[in-house]
Amino acid sequence: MGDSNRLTLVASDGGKFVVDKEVVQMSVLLKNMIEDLGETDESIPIPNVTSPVLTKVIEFCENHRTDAARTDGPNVDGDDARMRTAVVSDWDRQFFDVDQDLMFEIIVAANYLDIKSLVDVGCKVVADMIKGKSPQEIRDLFDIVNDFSPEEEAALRKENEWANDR
Amino acid sequence: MIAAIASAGRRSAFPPRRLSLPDDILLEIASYLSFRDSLSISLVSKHVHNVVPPRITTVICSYQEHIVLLHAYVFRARGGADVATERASRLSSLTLAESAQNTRHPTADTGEDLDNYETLLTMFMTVAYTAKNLKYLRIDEFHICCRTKALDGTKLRNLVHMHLSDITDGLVAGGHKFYPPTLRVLHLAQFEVWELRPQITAFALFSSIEQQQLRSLSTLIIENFVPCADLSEMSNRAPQLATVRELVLIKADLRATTVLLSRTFPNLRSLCVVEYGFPHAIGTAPTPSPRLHALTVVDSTSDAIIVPWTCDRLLYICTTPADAQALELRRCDHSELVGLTLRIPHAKMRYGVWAVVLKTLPMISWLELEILQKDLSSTLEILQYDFPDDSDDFSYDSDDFPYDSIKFKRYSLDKVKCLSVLALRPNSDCAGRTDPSVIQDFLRDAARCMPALRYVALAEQDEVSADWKEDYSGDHAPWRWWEVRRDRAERGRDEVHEIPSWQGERIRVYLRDADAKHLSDGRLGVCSAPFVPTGSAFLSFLLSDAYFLVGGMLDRSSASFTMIICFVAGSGGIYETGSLDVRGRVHAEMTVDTEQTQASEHSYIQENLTMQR
Repeated sequence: MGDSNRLTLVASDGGKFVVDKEVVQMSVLLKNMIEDLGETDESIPIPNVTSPVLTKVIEFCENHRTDAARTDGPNVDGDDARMRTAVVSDWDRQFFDVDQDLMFEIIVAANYLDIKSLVDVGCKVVADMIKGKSPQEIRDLFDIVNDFSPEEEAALRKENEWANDR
Repeated sequence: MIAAIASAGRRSAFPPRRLSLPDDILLEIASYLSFRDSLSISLVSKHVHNVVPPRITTVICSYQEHIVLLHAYVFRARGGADVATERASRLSSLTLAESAQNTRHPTADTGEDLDNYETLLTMFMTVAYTAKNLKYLRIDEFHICCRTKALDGTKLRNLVHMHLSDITDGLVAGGHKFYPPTLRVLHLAQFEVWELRPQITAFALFSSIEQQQLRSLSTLIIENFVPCADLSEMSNRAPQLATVRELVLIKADLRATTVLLSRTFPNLRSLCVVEYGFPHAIGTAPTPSPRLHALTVVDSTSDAIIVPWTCDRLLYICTTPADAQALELRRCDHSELVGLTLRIPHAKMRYGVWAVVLKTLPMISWLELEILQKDLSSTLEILQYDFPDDSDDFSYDSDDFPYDSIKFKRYSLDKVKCLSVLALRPNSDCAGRTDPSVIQDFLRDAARCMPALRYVALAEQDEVSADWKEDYSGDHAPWRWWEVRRDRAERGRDEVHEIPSWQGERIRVYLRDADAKHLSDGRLGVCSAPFVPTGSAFLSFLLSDAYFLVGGMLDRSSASFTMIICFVAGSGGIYETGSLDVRGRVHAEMTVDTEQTQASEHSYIQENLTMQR
């Protein structure tokens, strides 16, 4: 029987990661799985999440493991708004200082594993990248092909832009 | 089996192409964007537009064309009635600005005849009536609505906050329902006095609101109002607005109407007076003195004097250094004043803040300083300079101080339990943040000079606004909190520990809600017997789903420990051992043997709390 406080996660490419259960439980998906399975020595496969992405996800959970007490604490009115307006910390910003593909893969993996704090931070970082940019600048940033005709884009613009014209 | 469970995850995790994120992630990202940015992202591609279409929730009509465009946005939407209903239901805030009456947009051409403002007004109101989730409505130039009766409050079924500017006597004439019954906040502004328009008196206005029977109205804000024409008549029949708990008077001269105000607002809890005040001739003060929880005074004129209410808390804002010379905190019956928030240009005005506070308001238990023009580092050093020395009395010369010569002993600051300081962030050459050693020095000296001090909160940010509506508590400033843990056995060995800001903010909520009775010694961890501080794993904890503080007193002679469990958040009060708080917030009290195990104590507490909840 191995250490009951740790378990092994297996990435889609076969990479194995031994982590504390406390850390893993930041993922609601994995937490539910652990509760369903009880004590077990079996490894848990994480399909569709590669080793580099899982490495980053575990790094985030390790760093934010003490936040769990806070999220378990009494919920005060406005906590959600607080999270929404909270600034991304220096550590989190540095954590997401990776190439765009990896950044999006981390967010998708966090969404799959149901790690709310990581999804929130990732979305805030992407939102910060978008702020103040024109549609064309956003297309350039994320390599998106514009499939609007110029007339369609102008019509949509006219329909909505007045609301921002003060 | 595990593989099967893992693959059954409810979300897919395919490696994404650039911004080909799942729709729920795109929606989450869009939720962090302003309308302008969400419009930009919605225009990048058809797919993104379908997932995150721009959603207009707040509209400010500043030009005549805006009204036409708003109307078209809702009623001429491609997709028909369903889209129109959906768009209207998303509107939560509508403003018809003063300029919309007569200002054309410099470039927009709607092809409509805009000369008839009354028609435009009708179009605007039609949108407002259709917006079933509309919470906020502001109409400037309301005198036109007064004349045309274009506003029918009964059609605004969910409106919470209404702001009407430039009202005329048509509003108080009766016979028309301007206000929706769901209204909680009503803000009414008259023309500025210099415009020489006919003025509605404040009490005529109050009477008209009384007739409308607004059962949910809790906040009333009035601007540019004059006193009653005939005070004796109003004395005989004062209107009563019993639901109003908060009253804001902006440039409102309610001369000699203090008694009437206390009759009109019998349940008033908070009063804010902006750029005016109560003149010297206030007449006979009500007996007994009516009670307020909070008073806010903003840039009151120098001849404005005391509001004859008993107050628990005073927020005093003065925005110019010149006002500092007249810093006069005796704006209310301060005999029971326990909390003070000073929003001032800088801490070192002509006289030390400590001197002014202690001379005029010796009962202050919690003090919040919000500094408009100085950085935190300078502010802390100035405050530290004013701390009394170990050896000397703290004194001011009468030539320098407007009151009698004052001298107070080293521990004159002995009532202050909580100190909170907000100031500007240092400029970039100081690395953008206050030197930690400055903070540590300040905390050490504050703990030394204020024997009752339990909590200190500090924050610095780029701007501190003088606006009375700003409240910097909670998450509105980047607060850091510290707890002072006293060693009663040996003075000078106190320790200062940083605590989570959310925990500190709950202390602030409690303090702001408390009154003198609840803050008297012995009820906030300042015990005559040795106090075992909260934070000890053995003696205290914060429960996960309720807000309790646990502390206690150790009686060495009987070797017993009296544990007190206190409800902290909300409107409750910390209570006295053995008695029940009048507001019914107290949950448990017990005496336990100090030899009991931690497990059994926790179990005992849980049982009590479960029972009491």
